[in-house]
Amino acid sequence: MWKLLEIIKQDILDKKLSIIGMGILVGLMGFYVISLISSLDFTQMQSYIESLPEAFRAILGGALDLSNPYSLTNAYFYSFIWLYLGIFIIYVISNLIPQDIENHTIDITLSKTITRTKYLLGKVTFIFIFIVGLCLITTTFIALGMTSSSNFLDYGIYWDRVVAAFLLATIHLGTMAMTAVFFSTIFLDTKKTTIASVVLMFIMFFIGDFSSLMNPEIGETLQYASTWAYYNTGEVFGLGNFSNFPQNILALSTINVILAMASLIMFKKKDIPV
Amino acid sequence: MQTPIIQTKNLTKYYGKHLGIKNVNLEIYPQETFGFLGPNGAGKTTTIRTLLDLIRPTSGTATIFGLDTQKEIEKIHNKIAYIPGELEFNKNWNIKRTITHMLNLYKHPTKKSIIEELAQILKLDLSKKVKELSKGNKQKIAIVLVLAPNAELLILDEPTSGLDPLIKNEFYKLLSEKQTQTGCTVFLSSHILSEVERIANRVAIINKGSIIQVATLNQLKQLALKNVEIEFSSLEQANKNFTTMPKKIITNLTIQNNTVNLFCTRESLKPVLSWLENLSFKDLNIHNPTLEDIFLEYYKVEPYEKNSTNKKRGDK
Repeated sequence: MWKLLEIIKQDILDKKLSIIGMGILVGLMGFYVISLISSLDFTQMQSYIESLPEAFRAILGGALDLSNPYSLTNAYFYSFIWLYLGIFIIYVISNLIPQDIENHTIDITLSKTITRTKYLLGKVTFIFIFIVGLCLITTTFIALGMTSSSNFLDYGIYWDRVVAAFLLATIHLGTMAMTAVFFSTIFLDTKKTTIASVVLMFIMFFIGDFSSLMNPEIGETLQYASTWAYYNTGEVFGLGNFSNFPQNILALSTINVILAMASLIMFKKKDIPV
Repeated sequence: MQTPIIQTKNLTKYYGKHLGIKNVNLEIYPQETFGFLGPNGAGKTTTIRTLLDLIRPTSGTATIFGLDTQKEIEKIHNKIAYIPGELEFNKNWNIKRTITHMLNLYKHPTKKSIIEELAQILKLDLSKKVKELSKGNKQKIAIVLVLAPNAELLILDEPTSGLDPLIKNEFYKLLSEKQTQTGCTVFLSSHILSEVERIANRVAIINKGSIIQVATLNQLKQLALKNVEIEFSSLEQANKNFTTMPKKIITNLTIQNNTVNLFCTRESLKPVLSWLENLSFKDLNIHNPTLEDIFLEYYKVEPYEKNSTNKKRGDK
């Protein structure tokens, strides 16, 4: 067990500045979004949107709900957290195992009393600590922004929505990270892993967010092939509707577990290249 | 009879269509220092990495301490210290962190005092960052990693590459002390003959993925051909005697100026000397081959050719 902790500890020591730096940067972005919308009149905004032609509103796809400060924050921040943090996470995680292989340190590490399973579990645990750390810092800034925004104070501070968005974002970013881990166990190469993970991330984004708009018949079913279909912060954070929340959390968690298991099977089978 | 610490049976590894090693059979016994010799690309590292379960064999089996390397590798690794041939560490870490981290991965952590003592002997500044180190200094980290833990088997893949002669000497001294104190077994892979000659009891020679000879150094020397130089007073005399030579038992016969140069095995030296008894010659020199001569001879030959050469020698 402590050998696993040793792997985690060293990764945390290596990446602590990345976690803090990126967390603060994206957190400040969230804070900025909240401060921008603090002066808006939401009643006017909603009537303005409703006055737009039907065709124009269709372009927005109903995704842009501007009825309250939560939904607007969601539209600008949580809906795009995959872009703000996802690509960064993929970049970091794509390096994690291949870097050990490329600089040959994995030969020495795996010649010690640590199995491949423990090594990978150590890495996976670190990845979730990394994502939780990032999301905690950004959520702290969001919470600070909310408590200092008159619009939020007038509408009411709902911490359950904040916690739910934090959980969904963490697990959704986890699926992106686990995808990168899975690809890294296949390719054992940083560049290939990064490219494959980023490409898949965009494909998933389009399937999840746009397939039902482009072709409602196929898209209604197809969208569930993407993790974006389960990442619905618009409902929980924007509208405070928690009806699908447990199912979405369960679905995303299951995908994480499946990807971790698949990575483990792949990593155990593979030869460690020289 | 002792149970081997390392035992491989027909260990074979293909990288796709490319052969890594084929039917490698090795037995290494407790407290032995076993040299694993071969030119670059011969299959030394492939064999070692297969033993450590870093790569999986295509066929065949390997056991270390009687345990299957694919099934019980964690137990095996706890008793092993290993230096890989290609060595790199995390560039942003300092030496102390690198060593401590690696040694923390053993079941029983190593005392700080041992690390500090070894670092002092090897003149290694523990506070320095890895990116500031030369290849030789990085190799010193590997030496600490292999000598500090209480390992029963040391697997050393080209352990002294990049080290200056003084540190090389220090390493062999430390290794020998460790062996005396702990009775550990050493499996040393190298293409540097003097290195192996210095510490090994027994060697295996590998070329093109196949083991072509396993023997003690003395056995190898005995198997090797001796070089006989006979100087005659003139070229005419040399040519005349050349015709009467027992050519069946000698090889590589050459005449240069008035000197005849020939090679023969230890067994055929006697008939050569009896033939010389009846001749008048100016000078006679018999050279024992150096290890380098022996290994160069093995490296030159394809595995199947080597087998036939051995057979021929046996016939004699």
